[in-house]
This record gives sequence, structure tokens and C-alpha cells, in this order.
Amino acid sequence: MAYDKRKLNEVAVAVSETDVVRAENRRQNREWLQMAMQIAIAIRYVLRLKKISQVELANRMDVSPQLVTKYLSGKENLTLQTICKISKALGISLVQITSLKDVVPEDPNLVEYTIKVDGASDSEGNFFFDEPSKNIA
Amino acid sequence: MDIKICRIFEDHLYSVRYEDKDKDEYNRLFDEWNNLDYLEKFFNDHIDELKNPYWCRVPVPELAMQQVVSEANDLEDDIEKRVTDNSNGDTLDGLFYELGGKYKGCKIWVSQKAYGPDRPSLIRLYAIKIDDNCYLIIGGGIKLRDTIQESPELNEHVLKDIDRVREYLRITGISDASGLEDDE
Repeated sequence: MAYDKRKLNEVAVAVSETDVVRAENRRQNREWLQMAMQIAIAIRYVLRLKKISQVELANRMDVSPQLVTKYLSGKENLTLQTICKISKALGISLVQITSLKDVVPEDPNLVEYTIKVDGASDSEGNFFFDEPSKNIA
Repeated sequence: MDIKICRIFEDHLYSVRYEDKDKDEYNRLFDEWNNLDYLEKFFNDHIDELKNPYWCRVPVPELAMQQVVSEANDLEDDIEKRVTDNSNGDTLDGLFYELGGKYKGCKIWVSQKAYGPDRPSLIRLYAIKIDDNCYLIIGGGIKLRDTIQESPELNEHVLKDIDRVREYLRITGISDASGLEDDE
């Protein structure tokens, strides 16, 4: 079987401008979009497991259901404030700050610890962090 | 037969656009694989498939969704690199493998990358090899079983599409007529 590449080129048309822009957007924003997708999937998982509807999540967060739909699309550049709000509403930890030990593993002066951005807060709504667990490296 | 050929990367990658679709297959598939509503519905509709021992590493829909998103990103990046920068010798020929089974000898190729040492890939692009480092994407999707015939959704359109596109290529003179019979 032989194919004529020249003829293929003659009949080929350009991809629509919308698709070009969409693909370019995916390429240029690959890293944070990937994170947004993973966060959105994690939220969907918790909603399914805990049988919480999107409307219920919106109520808990005091935002519109349309906004929750956006969060769950995995295409929103979520702020840390929003991530904390979602975490608090669901009682889960969505993001953890990388420990310094992970950033520079060869530094012997660093101890291992993890800070959870889990949205836990006091009665006045002030966020606080778990006591870091310290391990001698 | 209303089929259009869209140019994704000139001289290297083309994609079929079917009359009943609003975009070409390459862009449609990558959009689909990045659409969490679509993926959630797909895996919940086929949740029993994930209970198959073959998919023991992704037994819940959300894990499978994570894998598809991650694989799609890697695949799209890999394709672009192979087309735009082959300084290290990587071309599309290293990404596509000739389809076996019923289609052995039909010049149908499939993208297949392992997603880790013991986890099979969930996504597939099916293509006709036009020339070295030049492919025409004819379709694809999420593959949940060993064969296209057994995989839900793939079995509904991929096999028909392969035949439709081969006929189109014959009519337009892009493929030589004699070769089609030889393949059967």
C-alpha cells in the first residue's frame, strides 16, 4: 500500500482557529492546568464518597453553584484562598506545601516537616496549621 | 462521503474530521481527555470495566480520570516534541506501533505508551501511516479492554471509521487502489 503525501497535502485544510487557540492554551499552561485538574478530580472524588452535591458544596462555601462548576472543570486557576475555602468546606486537605527538605534534600541542617494547607480554622475563621511533625533528617 | 483532512503539523501529522463532528479527531480527543465532566461520566458509565483485574491499579473512576489527564498531557507534549524538535532522533515513528490482531497488515497504527511499569495505557490514537514520520489520525478513545472489539465506545466507531477513511483515501487518489485489496 502506498500513500501520496503530496495529494494529502493538497486536500488538507487548516485546523479551525478555535482549536488552534485551545491547543495553544493547553500547551502554554500545561503545568498549572495539570494541578488544577488533579485538584478538581480530588474534589469530585470527595463529593462522590461523602455524597455531597455540588449545590451543597456551594452552600457550604457561600458561593454560587456556577462557581463550583467552574472549580470542578479543572480549568480554573484557583487561588490559595479558594483552595483553603474548599478544603474547609469538605474537611479535607487538598494541597501540602513542599518541605524545605524536599526542595534541597542534600542540606543536612534541615529537618523534615510538612505544613498542611487544610483550611482548618478557629471559630473566628482564622486559619491555622497543624503542628509540624519534626523528624531528624 | 463528507470527510475532511485537517493539517495539525504540516508534513507530519494530519487528522480526519468527520461530517457529524464539529472538530477534527486529534483536537476532539485531546479536548475530551481534558474534559472532567466527560471523563467522570465515561468511567461511571463503565465502572464495571474498572473491576477487571487488568485495571486493578485504577479501580475507582477518579484514579482512572487522573491517569487519562496525565497521559493525554504527556502524549500531546511528546507528539509536539517529536514533530518540532527531533534533534535527538525521536520521530513519530517511535510513538506509533502497527496494529495487530485483525488489523495486522492493514497499515493501521496505534499510539501506545505504557503508563508506568505495571500500568497499561488508557488512551489510544489510531492512525494511518502515510510515510515515514507522517501519520493521519483517524480516531481514538479510552481503551478499557485488550481489543478494540471488546472496548465499549471504541468498538462502536473506530472499526467503522477505519474503513470509511480507507475508502476516502482510495476515492481521492491519496492511496493506490490496488493496495486496499492486498490488505484484506
